Amino acid sequence: MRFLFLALAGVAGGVLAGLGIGGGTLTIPILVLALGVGQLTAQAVNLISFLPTGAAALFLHIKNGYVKFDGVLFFLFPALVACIAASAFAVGVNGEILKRVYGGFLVAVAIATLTAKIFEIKKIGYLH
Amino acid sequence: MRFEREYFGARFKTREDEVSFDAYANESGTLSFARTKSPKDFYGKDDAVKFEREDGKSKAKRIALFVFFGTLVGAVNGLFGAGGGMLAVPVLCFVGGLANKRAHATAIAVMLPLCLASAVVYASSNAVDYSVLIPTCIGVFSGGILGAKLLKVIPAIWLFFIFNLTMLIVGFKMLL
Repeated sequence: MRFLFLALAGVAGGVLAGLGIGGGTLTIPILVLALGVGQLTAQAVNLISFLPTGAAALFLHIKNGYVKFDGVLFFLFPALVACIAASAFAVGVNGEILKRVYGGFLVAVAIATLTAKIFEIKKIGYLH
Repeated sequence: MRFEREYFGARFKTREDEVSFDAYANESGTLSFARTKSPKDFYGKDDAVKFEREDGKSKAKRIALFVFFGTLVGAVNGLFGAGGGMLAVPVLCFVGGLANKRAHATAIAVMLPLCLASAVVYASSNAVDYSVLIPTCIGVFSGGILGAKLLKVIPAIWLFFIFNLTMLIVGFKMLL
């Protein structure tokens, strides 16, 4: 039964990822809030579950010529260094604290995105 | 190019590679409107690049911004195990000057190595629970395929508001 619920949580996150709207960000809360998985475990699972899906999507995007590699190394390299350092830090942090910080991050991103959208609608005068 | 031959006048687009409308004269000479999904429908794959922002940022400025935001995106992705892609897309749009769809595709190319590196760090500290990992992985993979199909059906603006409001509620729930 738990297997089924976990798979459904994955499907929900995967659907959002497929829709291109930050799927992993909601897989973690589903696992943590609804299924009682630890925050750090949920993060690790989310990272790994992205790999096959992401690889498949990347393959298709490269085939369709949508990926632009030019100049991206300046973005990728610092990101990779920061990512490894932050991961090494995160695995030592208490799960409860990490969960709260993550909640704060979600709220901040949602408010920033919604505000930006409202300004954009005001500026161009219509929804799209 | 098809556009020059068949289309004229009142042409406007909403945003780089989202929906656009074209007015053109059909065979009987009356005015018709065609709704197209992307510039790719009119131009070839490579010509879609023409729709990308010409924002006049110098190369040095672009690199500096990339390094700054790259560090930020990496730190977020490592710390939270998620969310990097969500930040990488606007960065690639506004700093890299990419059109929406290209930014999404390129963000995946950036996120894949980041997630791989994080996953190795997380796994080496025994944060992975295989009884959770296996069902979730199966779910995410099948859900991903389903989501990509739904993308053609559900209007983007609905998705935008549903997703962001959900994120707001869920965020508060985790925060408190």
